Amino acid sequence: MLDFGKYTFEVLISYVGTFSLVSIVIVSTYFDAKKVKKDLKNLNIDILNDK
Amino acid sequence: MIKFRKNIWEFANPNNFLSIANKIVPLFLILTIITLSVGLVWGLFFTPEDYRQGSSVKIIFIHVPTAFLAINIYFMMFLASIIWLIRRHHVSLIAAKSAALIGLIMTLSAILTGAIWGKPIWGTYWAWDPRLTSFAILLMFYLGYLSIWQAMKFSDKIGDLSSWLCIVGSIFALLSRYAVFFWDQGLHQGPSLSLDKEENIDNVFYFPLIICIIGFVLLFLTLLLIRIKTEIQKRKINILLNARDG
Repeated sequence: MLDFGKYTFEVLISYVGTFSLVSIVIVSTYFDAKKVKKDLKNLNIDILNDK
Repeated sequence: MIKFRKNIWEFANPNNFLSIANKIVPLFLILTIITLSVGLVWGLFFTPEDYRQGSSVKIIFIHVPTAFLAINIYFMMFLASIIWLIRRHHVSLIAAKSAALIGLIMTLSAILTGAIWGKPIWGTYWAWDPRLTSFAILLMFYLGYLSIWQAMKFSDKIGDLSSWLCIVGSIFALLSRYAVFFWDQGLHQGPSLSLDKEENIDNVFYFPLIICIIGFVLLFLTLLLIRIKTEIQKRKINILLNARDG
């Protein structure tokens, strides 16, 4: 199915390489956002408890 | 429904920014998935081989959008840096900082896919051609900009320093965009897309390419909004910690 003739390797490596690079940003953005959201929530709870 | 405000500077207020970002991120995410899926599947499986480049022409559906974003993300950072230096809006500084990593990845991807395409077509992975060289320098500016933020804590002074670096680097972003017009030399061909219909690539490649560019732009906007939101929350945490611990 994934046969692009003479340049199959070049085409596939370009797509896989780009997706890998973009995935790094997507994954780091997602986990960073998740962690910060959790930290902010915990901090707000701590501050309320302190009061 | 998203209620658009009359004054753009109201978005410089982090709370206003967060309220609109929360509403549009899901919409952008859905549009990104749809446009990228349609554009890339169309480009990869439903376009013919080029009579000279063969199937390697399919690389343009990745190379052109990433190169387009590499340059335009830097321009966006340039504008945000100018706004920071003139009006001191923290959201604009955070926007520039949040865009830098995405820009770096797009530049790297454009250079790599260009090199992979260049070997069979030009006979070499790399040449010191004006456009390629200005792209390599642009990559260095992205790295330098990110290094400043990695090395030091968030402060207005670091904001000024990174903004000035960004402004200097914008010359190379401009060169990356217009190098093919300035110098009539080098291996890199003219732009694939033009306002002049005669200079454009054939419609069979043009339409999926436009959809891919829109998809990549939407991907950038989605990631940017999430990253800005996260940065604002990080600053909120710092402020709360400082207030609590005195």
